[in-house]
This record gives sequence, structure tokens and C-alpha cells, in this order.
Amino acid sequence: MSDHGILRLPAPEHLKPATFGFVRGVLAVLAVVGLVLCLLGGIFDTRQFAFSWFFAFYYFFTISCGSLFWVLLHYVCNGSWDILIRRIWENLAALFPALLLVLAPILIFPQLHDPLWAWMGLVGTDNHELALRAAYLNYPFFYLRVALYFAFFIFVALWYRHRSIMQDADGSPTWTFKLHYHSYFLMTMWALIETFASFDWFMGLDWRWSSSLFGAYHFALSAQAGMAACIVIAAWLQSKGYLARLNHEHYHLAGKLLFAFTILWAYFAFGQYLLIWYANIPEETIFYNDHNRGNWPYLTYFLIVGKFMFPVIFLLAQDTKRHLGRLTGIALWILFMHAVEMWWFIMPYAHVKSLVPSWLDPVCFLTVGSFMGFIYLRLMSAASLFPTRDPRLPECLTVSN
Amino acid sequence: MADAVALRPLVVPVGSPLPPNLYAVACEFAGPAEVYHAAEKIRDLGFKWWDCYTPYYVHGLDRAMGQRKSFVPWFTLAGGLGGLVGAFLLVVITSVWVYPMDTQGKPYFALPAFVPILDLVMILLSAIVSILGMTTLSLLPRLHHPLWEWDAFMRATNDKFFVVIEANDPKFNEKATAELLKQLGGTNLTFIGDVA
Repeated sequence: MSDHGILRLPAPEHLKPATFGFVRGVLAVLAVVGLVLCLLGGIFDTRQFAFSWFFAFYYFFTISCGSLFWVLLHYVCNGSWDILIRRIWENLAALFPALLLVLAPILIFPQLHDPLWAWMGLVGTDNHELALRAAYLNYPFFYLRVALYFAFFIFVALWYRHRSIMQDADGSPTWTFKLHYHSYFLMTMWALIETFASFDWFMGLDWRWSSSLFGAYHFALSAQAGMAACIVIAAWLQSKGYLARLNHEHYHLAGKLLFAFTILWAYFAFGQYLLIWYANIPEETIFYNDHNRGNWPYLTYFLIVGKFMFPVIFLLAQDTKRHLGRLTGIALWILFMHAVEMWWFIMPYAHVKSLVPSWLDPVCFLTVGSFMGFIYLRLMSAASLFPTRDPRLPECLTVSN
Repeated sequence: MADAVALRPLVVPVGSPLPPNLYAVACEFAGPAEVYHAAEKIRDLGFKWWDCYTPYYVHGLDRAMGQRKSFVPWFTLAGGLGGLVGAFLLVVITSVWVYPMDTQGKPYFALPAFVPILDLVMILLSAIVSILGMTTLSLLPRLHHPLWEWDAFMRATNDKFFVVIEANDPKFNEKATAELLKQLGGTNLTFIGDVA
């Protein structure tokens, strides 16, 4: 209890080059070697490369998207428990400029985006179905939307991170109030932008298919991935001796939210399936038909067990959430299942008949992942590892639940 | 003579003759920190039948009192599993055997259609069983409690903090326990009796 003692605030912590220098070097080498392999793959198997590269992009996009959600949520509800780990999300969300760079080849080259978003290859042909949707599915409007999405994501993520770092310098509570004041509107905008981005990039993989629940489903999986990534990074930092004041109370709270969002993801994913299964309309059921051909159903069942049943039962016990090792383990597992889900979602459009892994999937994933990790380490070492002078930091340090 | 016993006061200050059917010795503390540290000492002395009463939730008081994790989650789990199995039997028996209906050509055993029912009955039963289990473990509802005879105790819901050590605790001794509470900083030391 802190009744008698004075609460000591932790000093600002900066990542020491000794901690991350080697890791960063490895990531840089991996990214460069991977990029060469990806270029070769892109030249010899362009179609497969487009899908594998998009798979890698989308995995990291959802993590950043979810992280921005957690940053905004922190301000919307005047949060205090997550201040020690908020900078991790701010840094993850600040990866959006790098994500734009990763998506750029797909946006630029028709050889890449035509197989990926099939409607793009049909523009100019007399496709009746596309003509009906031409008001939304056309090149200028699509690129305008993509520009809007990235403008929003980059601006909000960098702005929130920048103001939070400015507070480290002057300690003024004004920043907290200002960011809180703007967070309501930006959270609403985030939900709209995230929904339409998922429509355009993710649901757009099959442009004839539509699901009104898709934005919510995409929100749940993004937020879940953002929380899992944050837990893993916090555990890594703690294992290196940083963030010493992060204790099992914080992990318990993070674990509760990870648990809640695992259930929320299952709720939306199943709700979407249930409505489509019930109504049985061909243009909606097409999605589940495409994802359950050949040996794909095995992967579908694996998702149900691996991304819902196992994590929910495992996270149900309080001891799991309060135990750093177990919580990190399940967060890593959820991040792995997140990759499986992205792959399950995207790849049926590349391999219509049956499940075929390609060597480009792991190579693209590692290349983009190394690049993201490299940039992330730069962002992380640019400022203190946690907001050192947030006015609610004492509340965070003494949190109990 | 029986009338005389019944008229003996149930609440007396420590030092006076004991009330009939001694229930507990109780005392008052000024604030959360005092009650917290007193609880730690009482816990370390090995008392079992005692409790703290505070106007609001004092963080960490459960650990200072040495309370183990609540048993209620097991009620929740049992209720949830019971609801899941019960709802499954209910929908499967009725829609597969008792009253099979062809709806839009879906199979009789249509698991996706059952899931909302399984989910909701599971939640409903786990909630009901949790509440029943919690009230049972807390010996609630009850019409009367000996402590309610003590007027000062009413401020437990306002601005005072109380520690009550019950007479059926194996370590209880009316003199030594009252002395202990006094040493811990308790004021307004009082013996509480019971009607029967």
C-alpha cells in the first residue's frame, strides 16, 4: 500500500542500443534478402506474389489499425491503467506511413492489383454486374478513398504520438485534455474509415460478395491483434529489463480485454456466417463456398478451434491472465492464428480449387515483418518507452483489479 | 426471571457485564489505512470468523484479510455448462425427434441455428446460478443480524470503518480479543449479544 510512502514515479526509459542493435541488424538483413526474393517471385509468379504480398500487408495493417483503436479508446474513456503500455500502441499505429509504402506496389502496378481485386481487371469490359456497381467500384473513386484512408490513419496516428511525446517534455495536462476532446470525433471516423477500408481491400477480394457485418468483424479482429501484439512487445521489453513497474494487475486487465475481443471476434465471425447461412442468398453464400472447397474446410475448423475455443478456455482462468508467461504465450498463439485467418481469408481467391501454400507466403510475410520490425525499433528508440509525465500515471502505477 | 434475561441489553461497551449469547466483539476505526493494517495483524494471528465493514471498497483489503479467491466462479462455470448442455438437449430433442420441421430445406439438426439459443441459455443460467451461489455462500437473504442492534454500526454505510471478531472463532477470548482490538487502535469497543 502506498498510504504511508510517497509514490515514486519511474524515470523515463529509453531503449539502449545494446538491447536492439543486433535485432535491428538481423531485421535489416532479412528485409533486404527477402525483398530480393520477393522481386524474383514477383517477376516469375506475379499472381502469387500479389496475393502473398497483400497477405503480409494486411496482417500488419490490422495490427496497426487495432493499435490506433486502443490509443483512441484510451482517450475516449479517460483511461489510466494502460498508460505504461500506451506508447507501444502509439508506435505500432505510427507504422502507417511504412504500410503505405508496402501497399504502394499493389496500388501502382496493374499486374498486381488486377488479379487481387478482380473488378479492376474488368473495368472497361461490358460486365453487367460491374456496371451496376460502377458508381462505387471505379478507379478514381477507389484511389480517392485509399488516399483518404491513409491520410486519416497517418495523420491521427502521428498526431497522437507526437502530442503524447510533447507531454513527456513539458508535463502539461493540457495535452491529455486536448487529445481527449478530439478523440470522440476521431473514434467515430476511425470506425467509418476502418469499415470502408476493409470493404475496399478485404471484402473487395470478391467484389460480388457483400456482408453488412463485415466492418464489425474486421474491427474485432484488428483490436484483438493490436492487443495481442502489445502484450507480446510489453513482455519482450520487460524481459530486457524495461517497464519494471508493469505488474500482474496490468497484465490481468490486458488479458481481460484480449479475452473479450477473442469472444467478440467469434461473435461477429459466427454472426456473419449465421445470417448468410440462414438467408441462403447465392451472392452472399458465395464467400463460404469459396472458402470451403477441396481441403479448405480443415483450415476453417482449425480456425474455430484454434482462434476461438482454445484461447477462450485458456484465458477463462484468472491465473492465466495474471501470469506473464502464460499470457504472452496465448498472445503469441493469437498472433499466429491471426496470420492463419488472414491466409484463410485471402488465399482461396488465389487458389480456387484447393489449399496450396506457396514459398512466397512466408517470404513476403518475413520481408514485410522485418521491415515493420526495423521501423518499429526506430520509432521505439526515438522516445521514452512509456508516457513519463501523463497526469494519470500514478493511477496506472497503483491500479488494482 | 426469564423476563429479566430478555431485558438485558444486547449491546454493551467492553468492560460492562457480557450481553446474553455473546455474538462478537466489535470496534471502530477512523479510516481505510487503519482498518487495513488492523486486518493484516488479525489475519496473521490466525483468526477465522471475523470481518471488516467499510463504507466503500478498500483496494487490497481482501488480501490484507487473508481471504482466498471466491468460490463463486465455479458456480458460474457449472451454471454455464449446465445451461449449454440443457439447451442443447432441449433444441435437439424438440427439433430433431419430437417436432421436426422442414425450414427452408435446412437439416433438422441445424447447429448454426441452435448456437444463439445455446449461447443465451448458457449466459442466463450462469448468471442465475452465480447470483444464487453468491447469496447462498453469503448466507443471504436474512431477516436479522445481531450487528444491527448496534446504533453506531449504522455509520458503516456512511463514514466509519468497523472490525468485528465473532465469538465462535476458535481463538476468541472476550478479554484478550477486546484487548487486541484496543491495541490495534480500535475505538468504541463493544460487545454484541444475540437474542437466541
